[in-house]
Amino acid sequence: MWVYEKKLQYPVRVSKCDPRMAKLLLEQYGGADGELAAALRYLNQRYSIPDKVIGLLTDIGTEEFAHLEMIATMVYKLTKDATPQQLDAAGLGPHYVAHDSALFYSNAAGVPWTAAYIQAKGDPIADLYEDIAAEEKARATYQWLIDMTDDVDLQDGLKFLREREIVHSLRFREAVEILKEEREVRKVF
Amino acid sequence: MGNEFEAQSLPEEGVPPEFRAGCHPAGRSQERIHVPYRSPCDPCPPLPFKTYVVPPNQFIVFQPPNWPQYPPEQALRCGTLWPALHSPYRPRRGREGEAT
Ligand SMILES: [Fe+2]
Repeated sequence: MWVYEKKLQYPVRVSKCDPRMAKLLLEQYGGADGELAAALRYLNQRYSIPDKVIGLLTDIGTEEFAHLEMIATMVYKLTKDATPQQLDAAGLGPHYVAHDSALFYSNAAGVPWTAAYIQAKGDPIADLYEDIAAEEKARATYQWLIDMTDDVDLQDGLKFLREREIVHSLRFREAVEILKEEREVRKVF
Repeated sequence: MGNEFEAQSLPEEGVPPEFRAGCHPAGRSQERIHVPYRSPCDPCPPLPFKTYVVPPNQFIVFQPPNWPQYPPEQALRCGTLWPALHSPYRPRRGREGEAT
């Protein structure tokens, strides 16, 4: 189970009215390397991964939901006061006809999220390498998102999220090292 | 509080010798064992352990030159020129009585 805190992991400020940016941010909402995919990937893989790294997948998977909330907040702020005409001009006309201004799990091109984006291979090394790759792809996506806006407040939130991907990647690589250990070996730090 | 990286104590009975270090050319087994958490309320009898493979590529950052090579014909069959990169796989089928 989870305990919910009614606050964001990091404050989200958006200072520029730019619905176009909402469309682009959807890549990290319902995209292949987005936060939803990350959370669902890790929280599902953890059942069959060796006990030593279950806790790590639980912690990071949980944090990804906190990131998802931050992206949702950004998208919401950028779309809640937009007229249908403004949404259409931002490329969100197809989104509007399906969802009004509701958020939905699709990527920046409007493709709905699919479980085909994620995998649980059962092989711990293969699963952790997918996780490492996902973190690096998310880091790159945040870089390109930062490049697409000149709103320094929005950039600030995106830079925080980008940094978390870097930390998560290292934690997953540490998990690989733990699983490489032989069972008889005692590692001393 | 124990070291979190300390190996779990495993049921020694029923652990086949292939799982112990030494069967790999580099002197370490490529198979690892873990024992998933056992609940007193599990509906089915527990498997003794589960295995996974850590292939030798995991220990090589960048392959140095001049490593020992298989004879050419054996290399063709093995899929690699270098014994240090060879990863045998024991199919799970036929490992009856053993957990996978
Ligand atoms: Fe992440």
